[in-house]
Amino acid sequence: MTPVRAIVRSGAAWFLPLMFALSSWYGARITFRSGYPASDIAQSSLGLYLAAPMTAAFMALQYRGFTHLIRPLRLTRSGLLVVLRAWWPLLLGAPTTLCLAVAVAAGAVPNDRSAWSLIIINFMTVLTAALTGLACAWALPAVVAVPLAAMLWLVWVASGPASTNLLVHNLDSTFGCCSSDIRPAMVAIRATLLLLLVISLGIGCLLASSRSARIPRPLVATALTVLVVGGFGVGVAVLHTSGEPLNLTATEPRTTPLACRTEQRVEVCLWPENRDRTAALAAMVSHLNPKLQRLGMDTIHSLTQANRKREAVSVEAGAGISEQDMRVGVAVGYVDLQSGCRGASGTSRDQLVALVALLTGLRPDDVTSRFGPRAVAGAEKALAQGQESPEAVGVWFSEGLRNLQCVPPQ
Amino acid sequence: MMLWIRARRPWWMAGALVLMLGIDRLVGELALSVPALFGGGVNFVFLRTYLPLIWAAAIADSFAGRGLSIEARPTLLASMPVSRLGLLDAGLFVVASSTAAVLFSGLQPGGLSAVAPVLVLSGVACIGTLQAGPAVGAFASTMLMLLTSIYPRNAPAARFIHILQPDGEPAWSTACGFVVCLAAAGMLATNSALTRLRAAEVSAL
Repeated sequence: MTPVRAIVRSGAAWFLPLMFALSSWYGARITFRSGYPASDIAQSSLGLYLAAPMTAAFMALQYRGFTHLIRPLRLTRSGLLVVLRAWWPLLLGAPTTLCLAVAVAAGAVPNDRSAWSLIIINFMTVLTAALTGLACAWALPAVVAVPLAAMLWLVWVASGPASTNLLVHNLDSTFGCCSSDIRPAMVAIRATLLLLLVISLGIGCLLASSRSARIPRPLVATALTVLVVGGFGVGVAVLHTSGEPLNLTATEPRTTPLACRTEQRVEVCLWPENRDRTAALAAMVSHLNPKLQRLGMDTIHSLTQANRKREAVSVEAGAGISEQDMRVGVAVGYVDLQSGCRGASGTSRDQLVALVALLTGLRPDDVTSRFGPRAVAGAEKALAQGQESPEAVGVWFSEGLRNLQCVPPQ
Repeated sequence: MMLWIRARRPWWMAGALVLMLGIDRLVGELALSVPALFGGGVNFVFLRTYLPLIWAAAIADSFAGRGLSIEARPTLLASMPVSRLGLLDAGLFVVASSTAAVLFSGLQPGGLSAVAPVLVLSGVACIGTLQAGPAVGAFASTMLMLLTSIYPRNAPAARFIHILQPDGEPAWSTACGFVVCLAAAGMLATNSALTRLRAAEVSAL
């Protein structure tokens, strides 16, 4: 079969562009971008919810009757080769299309192991969906195979992320990963890949024999069931034997090094993808420090992302963070550092943050929208007192810090 | 008449109906957690939302005429006037689909608003089957379920797109169900089913 004929006959010519459009549109629904490719790709992998069941259903639809068609062929060629020559546009085209759609929706190119792992997981998930669709159409009448393949994949991919089962979360091809500071857990990636490999390689082996077209349908159905159960068994075994802690988002802290630079006597340590924010943050702090000093408050010498340094103010600087958010982030980080407590909450803490936020140059309206009118009114009152006696603000701030009730993180 | 009954396999329809109602009774209220982006407002979907696909598969199977071998089909066409065949098919479709819809919705708290998914999927499966074969009928209904399920709740006109989901606009969904069913019944009555009986069918293998 010529490549062009295979593309036309398999339906890939119209199905893949449609899948690309829908998957990229769906993947782009979450618009917050951190600038960290692994995080953005994980979010845009939402396209998988659509692509996996759609591919399984379409493969089942297109493959129907193919086994009957090739059954009379001479028993010299491997069934797998026959299938690949006829169906490569869907078997390889659909996974590739999803990966492209995810990259386009994320607006990111994979640049580290985590990001590439996510791309590979997406590829393998859609490939396995296509192969299970094929196997369903091989084992069952098409009227049953098409809805069954689609719904099983929809339920598996869609219900996993919100379930409370740790094993499901770490095997379901999705990752609740959405910030610069965390990345997909490698143990979950390994387990998911093994699950997908066992199923897809198993179906490949089932097809490999030149007599595969003559395998009775009930046997194919049984083999498929065994493969799925076996795949889960392998995945669960990997999770259990790894000894690594599992969590419901299948993520782990990002451990790659920060890019540190000193500008205007402020050391700024950010993730490499946020390096272009260094100058803006340093300039903001260099304007803020004289004000803090005049009010009798500690100045800022160091900023960091991911809370890596104990003596540095923790900041947010991702691609989706606005200039105002960055200023608020510095204020929050400053109060957290001064209080020695990241879990504090309540009006008194909001007043302290509002005060620092106002000092960074934010307008009261901008601060009110985030911390409420009471916090801003308290901060403005303290600043007004500071017109006559600047040190009074520092005393007020120190008393506020002492009164904070620190809630330990859950 | 017996040949027609064999061709339409009403026992498969009855079996599908019993299966659908049985699963609904046993595990229909099983909540599948899904991302809030397409959950029913509180990020879950009841399993029963997907059950009408079982009925759609039965409709696709029935109106493909797969109950009769290729050799037996000319006998059926010779023994029954074409107009009568069309009327019998349309009657069977309307009665069976209405019964399935009413029985399915009778078990649910939403009452008659739950008839819409069964009607819509019956109609889509039937039209797809008559136009291009039972596999396409099943595929069309599956894709409709899939695409409407994942259409985000915060996207434009989501209430009118979710015609198969409980959070859709009930009057609009029911109207869609009636229109699609009427179209399918009209196609059956005007003998579109003949095409399928005459087709040397490999579509549903």
